[in-house]
Amino acid sequence: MDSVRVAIIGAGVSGAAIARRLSEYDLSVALIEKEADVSFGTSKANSGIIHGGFHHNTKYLKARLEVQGAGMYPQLHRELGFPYRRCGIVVAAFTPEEMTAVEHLYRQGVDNDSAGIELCGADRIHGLEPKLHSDVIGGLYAPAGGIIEPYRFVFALVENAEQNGVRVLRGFDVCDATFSGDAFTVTSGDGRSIRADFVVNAAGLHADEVSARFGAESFTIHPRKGEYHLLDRRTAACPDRVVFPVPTSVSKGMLVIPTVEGTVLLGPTADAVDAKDDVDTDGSRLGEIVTSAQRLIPSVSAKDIITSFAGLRPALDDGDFLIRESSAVPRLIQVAGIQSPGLTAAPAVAELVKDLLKEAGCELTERRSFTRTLAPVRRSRLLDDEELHDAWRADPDAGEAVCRCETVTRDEVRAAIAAGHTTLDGIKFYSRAGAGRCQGAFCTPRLIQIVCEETGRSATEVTKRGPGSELLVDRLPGTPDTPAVRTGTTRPTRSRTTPNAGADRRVDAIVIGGGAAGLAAASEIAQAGFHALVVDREPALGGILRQCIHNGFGLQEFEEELTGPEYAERYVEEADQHRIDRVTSTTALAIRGAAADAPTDAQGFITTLLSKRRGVAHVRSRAVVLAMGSRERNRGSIQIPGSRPAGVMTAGAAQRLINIEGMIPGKRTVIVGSGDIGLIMARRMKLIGADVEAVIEIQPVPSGINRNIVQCLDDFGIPLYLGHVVTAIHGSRRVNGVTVAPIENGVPRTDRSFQIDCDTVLLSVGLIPENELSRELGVRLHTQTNGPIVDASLMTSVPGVFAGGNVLHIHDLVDYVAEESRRCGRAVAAYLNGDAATAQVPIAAGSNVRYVVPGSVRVGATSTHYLRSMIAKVGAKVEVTVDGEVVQTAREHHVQPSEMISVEIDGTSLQPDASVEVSIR
Amino acid sequence: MIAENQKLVTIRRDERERTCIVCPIGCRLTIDVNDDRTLSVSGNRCKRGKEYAEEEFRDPRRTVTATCAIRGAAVARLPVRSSAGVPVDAIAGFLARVYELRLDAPVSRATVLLSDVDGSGVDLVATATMERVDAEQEEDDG
Ligand SMILES: Cc1cc2nc3c(=O)[nH]c(=O)nc-3n(C[C@H](O)[C@H](O)[C@H](O)COP(=O)(O)OP(=O)(O)OC[C@H]3O[C@@H](n4cnc5c(N)ncnc54)[C@H](O)[C@@H]3O)c2cc1C
Ligand code: SF4
Repeated sequence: MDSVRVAIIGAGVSGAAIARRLSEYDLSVALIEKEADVSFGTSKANSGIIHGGFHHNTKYLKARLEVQGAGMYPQLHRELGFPYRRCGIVVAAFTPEEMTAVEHLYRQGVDNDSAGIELCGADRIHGLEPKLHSDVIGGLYAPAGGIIEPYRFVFALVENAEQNGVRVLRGFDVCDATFSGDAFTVTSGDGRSIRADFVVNAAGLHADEVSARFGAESFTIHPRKGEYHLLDRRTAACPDRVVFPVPTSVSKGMLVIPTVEGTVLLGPTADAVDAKDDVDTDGSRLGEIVTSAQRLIPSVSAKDIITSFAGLRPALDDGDFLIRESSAVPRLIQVAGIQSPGLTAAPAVAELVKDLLKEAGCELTERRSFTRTLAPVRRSRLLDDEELHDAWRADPDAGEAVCRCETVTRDEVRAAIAAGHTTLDGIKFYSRAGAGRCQGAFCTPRLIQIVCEETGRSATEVTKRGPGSELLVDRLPGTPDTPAVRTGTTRPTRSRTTPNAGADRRVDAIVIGGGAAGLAAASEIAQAGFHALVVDREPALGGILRQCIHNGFGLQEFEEELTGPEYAERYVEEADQHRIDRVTSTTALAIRGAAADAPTDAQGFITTLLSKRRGVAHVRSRAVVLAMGSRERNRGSIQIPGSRPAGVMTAGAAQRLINIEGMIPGKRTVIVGSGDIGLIMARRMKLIGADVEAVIEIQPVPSGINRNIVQCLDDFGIPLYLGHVVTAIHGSRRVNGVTVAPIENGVPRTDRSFQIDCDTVLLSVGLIPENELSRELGVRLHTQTNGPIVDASLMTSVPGVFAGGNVLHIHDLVDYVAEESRRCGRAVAAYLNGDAATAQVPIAAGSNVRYVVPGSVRVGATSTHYLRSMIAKVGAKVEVTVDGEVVQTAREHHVQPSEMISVEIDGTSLQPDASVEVSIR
Repeated sequence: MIAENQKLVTIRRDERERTCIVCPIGCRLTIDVNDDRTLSVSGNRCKRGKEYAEEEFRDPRRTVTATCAIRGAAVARLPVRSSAGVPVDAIAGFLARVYELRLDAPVSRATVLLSDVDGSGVDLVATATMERVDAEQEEDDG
């Protein structure tokens, strides 16, 4: 049996800080954690605030440790490099009564020696935080407060402690503790044991149970839940400082917190709960969070929520920390009740525990070779092009973008795994892969593959956060056990990649995205005699079609029914015929316009590309075609409350896992959303031998087409619940069920809700055009389509930049994607030819029309437009009016919101000042 | 957003009730078998609905799409389809044959992988082209 001088139970921020502090001494130390990774308890889900030292009275131990700990952060940050920003804290008061309360806080802060604390009048506070509500009359400012990424702090502490000899035992659940002779024996559930002369109980929520196992004093930890929303980096509501309301008697209130990573946290709530694993989010509380946050900062919008989560504070009855040698069991140091401000206080807690150990007889002599600093963790996203290219020279994996939202490269994921983080949550916390707006929909299959390659595990062994949270349940017959040998960077089918793409290249048009849209546009550009370059991050061209193995494509265009891959290959072959240049396994990181004063031959655009083969490369072009397709809306977008277990994924991610990777993501499925993707996936799950318990649709009508309802659901007897909503997801590690409620008068009838058991929830709740690159380029987006606003020639608000396919608006049929993108390609050719732009007239979306794309018509020509109906109707009319007079009527057999309508608008006799409107009646 | 003039589509509870899928209207068809074994179809707005109902009643078929295990390609699965509709009762057997297959790259699109599966007259066809990726390159990339 191994034996150490000190065993620390619990690798949250307290245990980690203690371990790192003790590693400065000549001492053998073990850090024991029951979860699969460190920081998986309270330390992962909290506000990440370094408090300002004014919330608590000095009579509390926690108040003293808060101020002392806060003061230690700047140095720790220099040594360990975790994300930390001393941004300061403001407390905003709306009334004179609140101002009086603020003055109390100020006094407390002064008593606690909170550095630089001040009272603010209206001008001062609005100057400090311009995003505050205009009704704020004043408040308090504590410049010493700040923000950190809590798990990154814990990871850094643990990594540094390990460097200095601390042993970390993960998955070690302390079940038994005995004292014999002169030492403790601590045993885990799986039979491992370790002997220690001293033990520190830093077991967070479970400190009371651990104390009992040692036969030490009894106390009770009360879990108190805090729920949060996380907002996308894109939000307009990111404050410069942490913004607090004036606290109430029960809590510090709900805050608006900027994060070091540029996202925004809203919350937390404070609710006592019974179970120590109850981290479910609650629908009604989540609504309150947004409302409270908007009171402080009006620009907060629920639209920007990317995920919601909850954490538990381990509170003792008296609300204070309990840190002392056990009165019943000598040499056991209790570190319990570490709720807020536990993060802030952690370095000071470690200091105190070190002193307590010394008093208890643990001699401490400083280690001669203590490594104080940690090598910085590289972030590809934050590097400029040159730095990233250098990183790629050193490690070609820096050229492979794995997570698209956060631009995390493969080497960063490898670094996370090398640092001991082998679960997807661990990798996310370390590298941010999966932490962005798509919440892992894109990168999860890739991450699973990398974990397999790096650890030799099979795909079914990879977990979200440890045993019980496996992501995949099985493989399809014949799929190899480990996906290791089929890395996505293999040679693409019949590719003709251009030599020396690493150097600056010049083309007429660059096409971002090689799906149906990109290929169709590029073919037209090439046919007109121009040089087009297609870029795609996947190893093969074809886009999303490659994973849509079902039939139903091309009926309009080819008058035969093709599967997705067949349709895609037709387009790839057409591109081959036109000898179109292409680079695959290559991500476009940014597009920028050349400087306005650049010489004529250097005008246009510069696109930054990243690939494993060439690192960072730049392509100059006169025109740009945006054809990036779309991404799926996810759980955060529709805010399904409940727990966050493995087994919840978007339908498209499941489709990829099944059809490309050959995996089985689950055996009992509930599908949320009755769009075509959800329906197709319902049948797909059935055909791979899984059960589909239900499809839940919030609308009273299905959003998929009839054929799919019949052939994907009815054929298999899968129930479709129309007008129902999933009100909660259950299961702590893997999903075990959902609660479903009928909708009445627009609200869920929770009294009539029922539960459906399942191990998988697939979300098919819509697609969103993927416009990050467009947005950064300054392209204006349409509020209805979420795609660029385009003129009659599909040109965006940035001259020379065009768009087609799902990046422009979501299409129901790929045939329309191709048709539109061919038009786009021809317009690009006309632009490159220097054809003079003709006058255009905007088209208004009239009655029952959600939008019209393109939203203008060319004077003197006839053009094709796509509309979306807001109503479903048999025998409808599409009417075009000019200056209020109906000039054109087209009969539509049947219209419905999920089906696109194509109309030809005749602009031959239009006056340039006419007002044109399209309606459905 | 509900069509005032369209019935809500609900799940099929009864074999006599079918949704016509020939056009997007999706008429709800009611099918009765007459004594002379002909069908009486009601609910259809046009004659295509009746034809559909007859086919669905007498010889329902579905195109089957799936994937097969493939070795030596860039990915582990090759997408495949049936060359024509498979009688619905034979789909399970058809899939079993698909899942038994172990292919080796290269395979090109439209290759018949199995012909006349279980005497159904329907073939199994590859729907994508997969080139061979040699082992050495695989290791380089790993
Ligand atoms: C499950 C499912 C079922 C469907 N069923 C049908 C059907 O039966 N019939 C039908 O007609 N249509 C169907 N569709 C719709 C149709 O497949 C899509 O509308 C169409 O394929 C979209 O084409 P696209 O080129 O716009 O987008 P995509 O195919 O998504 O192509 C975009 C490409 O851009 C690449 N890209 C994005 N950003 C970057 C970057 N920064 N750098 C490099 N590359 C980038 C992506 O990797 C991708 O390859 C279905 C879709 C799905 C998902
Ligand atoms: S019966 Fe005719 S109108 Fe009705 S859904 Fe079938 S094809 Fe359409």
